[in-house]
Amino acid sequence: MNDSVKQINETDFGFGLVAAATGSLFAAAINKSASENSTVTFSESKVVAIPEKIKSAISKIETYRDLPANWNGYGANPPSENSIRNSIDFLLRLSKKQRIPSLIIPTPDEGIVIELQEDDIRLEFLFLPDNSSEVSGYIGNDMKFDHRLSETTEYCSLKWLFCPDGNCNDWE
Amino acid sequence: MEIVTIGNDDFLLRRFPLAHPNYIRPDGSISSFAYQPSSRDIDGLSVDLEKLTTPKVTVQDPNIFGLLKIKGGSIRAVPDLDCVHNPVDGNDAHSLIIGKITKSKKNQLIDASERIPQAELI
Repeated sequence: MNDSVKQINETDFGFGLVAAATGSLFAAAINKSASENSTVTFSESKVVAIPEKIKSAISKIETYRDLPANWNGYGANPPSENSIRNSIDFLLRLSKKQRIPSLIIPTPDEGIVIELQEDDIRLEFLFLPDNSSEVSGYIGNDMKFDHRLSETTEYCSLKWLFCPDGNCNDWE
Repeated sequence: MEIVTIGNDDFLLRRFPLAHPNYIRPDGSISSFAYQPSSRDIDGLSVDLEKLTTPKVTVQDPNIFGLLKIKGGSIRAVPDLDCVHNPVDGNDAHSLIIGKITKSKKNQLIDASERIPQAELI
């Protein structure tokens, strides 16, 4: 593992140029039937093909609507529509980076979790019923950061995972 | 049912989904959301005290659920968490993990947990 990854902390999320660099990414135009179509159009008119695995991931999330009550054996309800919509929006943004989630699960409090993993480094994106979203970074099960999801924290967390040394030509 | 003391060496059992959805990652590890309370878990997170039940009873349906076990002492080793016996109608083994379970604490709990092999639940 690269030592530079271990040294990243919350202050690394504070620099201001990132939002300008990612504004158009976060505001992707969302196709409402994305799992059936092959492209997503971002606000800068860039059209990106949706990878098959992202389409499959979107379909999986859509199936969670139909989970029965008590699906976890402890009385959980299916994910909320807000959680489903926001998690699908995130997957469409992820299409632009050609990255594939390693785990997509509903949570007992009607949310959706999408994980991305590289070796033992993991990002956990949590989409909640109240329309809020969070991102946490882990090395193993040791939490390194935990933030509300914004353009900045989304970009920086993905960079933390996929390009920790900042010296990558095509991670985006 | 008389309330029993949960010793540090007593095991507690917690179900997790392994079909649809599936909480097991591709590398075989289990998501810490197995220890995520829901909005109805006001008093604490439900677990079963192993010495008052069996894994086969607690798992309910081994086609849908797996089972984690964790020692009472491992729960108490997480700051501000404790476990207490809390029998309910139809489940004398019912117990609670009490205290606020944060993301970090969920991960400490999953680290301290061991999965019971599925073959032992059938």
